[in-house]
Amino acid sequence: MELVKIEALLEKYFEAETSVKEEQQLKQFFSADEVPAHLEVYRPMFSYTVVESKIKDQHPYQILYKRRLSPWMKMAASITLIVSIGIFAKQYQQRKQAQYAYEQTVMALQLISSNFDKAKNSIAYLEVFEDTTKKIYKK
Amino acid sequence: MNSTEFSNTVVCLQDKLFRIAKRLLVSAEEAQDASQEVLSKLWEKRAELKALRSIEAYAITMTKNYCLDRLKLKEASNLRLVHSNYESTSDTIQKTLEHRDQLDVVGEYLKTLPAQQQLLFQLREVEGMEYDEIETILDMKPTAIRVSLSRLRKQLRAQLLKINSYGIS
Repeated sequence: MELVKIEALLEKYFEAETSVKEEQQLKQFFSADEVPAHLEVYRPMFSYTVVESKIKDQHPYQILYKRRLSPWMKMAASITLIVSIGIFAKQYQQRKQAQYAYEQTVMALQLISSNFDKAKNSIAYLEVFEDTTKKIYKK
Repeated sequence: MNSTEFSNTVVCLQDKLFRIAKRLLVSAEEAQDASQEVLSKLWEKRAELKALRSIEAYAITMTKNYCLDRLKLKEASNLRLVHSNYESTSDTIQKTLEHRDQLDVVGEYLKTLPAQQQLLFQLREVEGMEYDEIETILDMKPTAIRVSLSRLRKQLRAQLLKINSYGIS
């Protein structure tokens, strides 16, 4: 672009009367390797904005989804829950029954053994009787 | 709005929002937090986005408000720290003056400006946005924007001329 035009644009620029497009032209002009010496002062103003516009956020944003179950999944989950509770309850009941049967058996056996002990004690008297009869017969 | 639409209309603004946040908050980490926060808020509101006139202006305004809140919080929690920050920037101006790294001079000079002017610079000079968009985001009248921008450009020029004359002598 012609130098006169650039100088005119610069004048407009400092009065804030340039359009975005014209400011883009200025940026482009000052991005060149060679800039007339008397305009070199302005270079940092424009190259700074070009450098700054290229900065990027190093951590790309990730959308965070809140997990939502589909209706089918919900149904499957509740069925599984009910079935497992059912199985557990049944097992528990069976175990309770087994425990009860065991306790009944133990009680019955204890009854038998206590009666057995009583019988044994009675037999002890028989032994005493035998001893005494022997003593008598010896004499 | 589904996730593909959201990616195409909102997530593609991420770098821009990040740059705007970085202009105000300076630290890249804080700017990252800002852009993530704004995007997740927009994702939550995705159902309402289609009714907006400009999603971009809305997103930038949200970013602006987020950053201004952050700055206010910092200022309230430690006034002295802000003050020392300010001093350190003028220190670096001195340093860069010696190094004659003029891009840094521009950056450091901008840091001394109020948030509104920094945003104006960012939106117009860096992002190349039209005045009517800037009006809605910054809530400024067209004439006020032009006056402010013209003054900003001239101040920046004066700063560069000053440093350049130091460099020559």
